[in-house]
Amino acid sequence: MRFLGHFSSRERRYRRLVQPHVTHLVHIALQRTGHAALAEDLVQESCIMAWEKLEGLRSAEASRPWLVRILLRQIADHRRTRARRQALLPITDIEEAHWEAIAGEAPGPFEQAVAAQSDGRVAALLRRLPDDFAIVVELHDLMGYRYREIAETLELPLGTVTSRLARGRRLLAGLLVEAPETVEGIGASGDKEARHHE
Amino acid sequence: MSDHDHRSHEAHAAWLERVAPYLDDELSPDERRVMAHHLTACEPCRRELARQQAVRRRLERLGAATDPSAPHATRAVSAEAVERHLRRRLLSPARRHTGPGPLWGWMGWAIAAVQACVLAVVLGWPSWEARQGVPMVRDAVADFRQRVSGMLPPQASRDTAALARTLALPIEVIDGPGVEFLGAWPTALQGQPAAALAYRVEAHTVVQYVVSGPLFFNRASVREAVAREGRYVAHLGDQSVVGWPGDNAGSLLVGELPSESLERLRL
Ligand SMILES: [Zn+2]
Repeated sequence: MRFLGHFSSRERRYRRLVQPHVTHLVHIALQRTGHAALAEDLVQESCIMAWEKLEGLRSAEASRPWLVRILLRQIADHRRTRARRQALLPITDIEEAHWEAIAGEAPGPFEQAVAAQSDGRVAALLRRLPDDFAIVVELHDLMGYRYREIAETLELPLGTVTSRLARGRRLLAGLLVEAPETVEGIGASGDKEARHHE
Repeated sequence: MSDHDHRSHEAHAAWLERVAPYLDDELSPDERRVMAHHLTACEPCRRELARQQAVRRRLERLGAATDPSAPHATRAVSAEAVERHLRRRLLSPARRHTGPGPLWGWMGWAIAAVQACVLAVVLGWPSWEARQGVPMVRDAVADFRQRVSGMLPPQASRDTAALARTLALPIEVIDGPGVEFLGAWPTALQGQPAAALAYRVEAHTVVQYVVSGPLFFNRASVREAVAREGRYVAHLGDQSVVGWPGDNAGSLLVGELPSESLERLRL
């Protein structure tokens, strides 16, 4: 620290490799959890873990994917131990409905319906997707990752990223326009999770 | 290409799988050209493209609105708010002293201290330890300032063996030319038991604080200084502090002497 006249090498490393990405981690945690206090906790835990494991980080380029992986593990652990289980989505039904719509529907109404959704509703529906799909969609469409960056961050083959992104968007599309009645339930369960966390 | 069965996505699943990468500009130039040509003739793929695009656009708007780093985004939590909240929560005295017993008290403090240390780094907070010192050292110097102005505490004794047993700390009295041992007594640093040993060195009073190894090594700045130079040196106001590790313990020597003079005492 400065009162010793210098920063320790670990602190310098931390400032260079981790600190620039904390805001990004907050963004992911906020979207994944929907709760500020919980997001803060999870980012904080991730930063502590990063501090402890800093030796394992090989390069500056690897630091963001490495941190995101740590955060996603924290989020998954929290889900497993603390949070309510995610309700299962009827994925096959939603996809079938999607393909039928693609084959028959005139363009226009869908786009308008999607554009008209509120931020809160879109974010909440995104959290209803299975994690494997949601995280790929979030990293790409919310955070501007390229396919290759997602593959690297999640340690997945490029083909898997490609198909999960497309399928995730299709599922979200299905929820956005075809399941309006589920939205009330989402708000309520979100609140429950917040209280559970307190 | 245009006369296959458009009503079944299975008839050209491979085409549909390329719609999203086409939209996201993730195809090679050749693949892109071929896909663009297919789209001119394929209604379902055009609809798939429109849907993928509508969802992506909506999500991009959401991403911009929730990005904590965006300058004008409307958001519930900014990075600054996160920082303020964490500082308050982790550094509040209440958190340091929670827990029913000494073990829990210590663990609570240690966890809070580790978190605070990490957060100082996480949140770009370089001046905190500069202003306040390592907490253990801050306590030692505060205790020293209080002692040095008055008498030795009434419980001070020369029986360091008894004190060592009581506190479960290894206590080694500094013995050397020009060093007079005055007495030792139990005290606390950061809410943990510590032994204080007072010495007279020339015209100065010097106090040695013996603490547990976990407390001594709690802060990264102390660990790293010891790893690098075998000792930890700090200056707070008029007081110098020299710290060194012992057998599962650590000592802090505090006095109004240059740190070089303090270092010589322990040799
Ligand atoms: Zn097609």
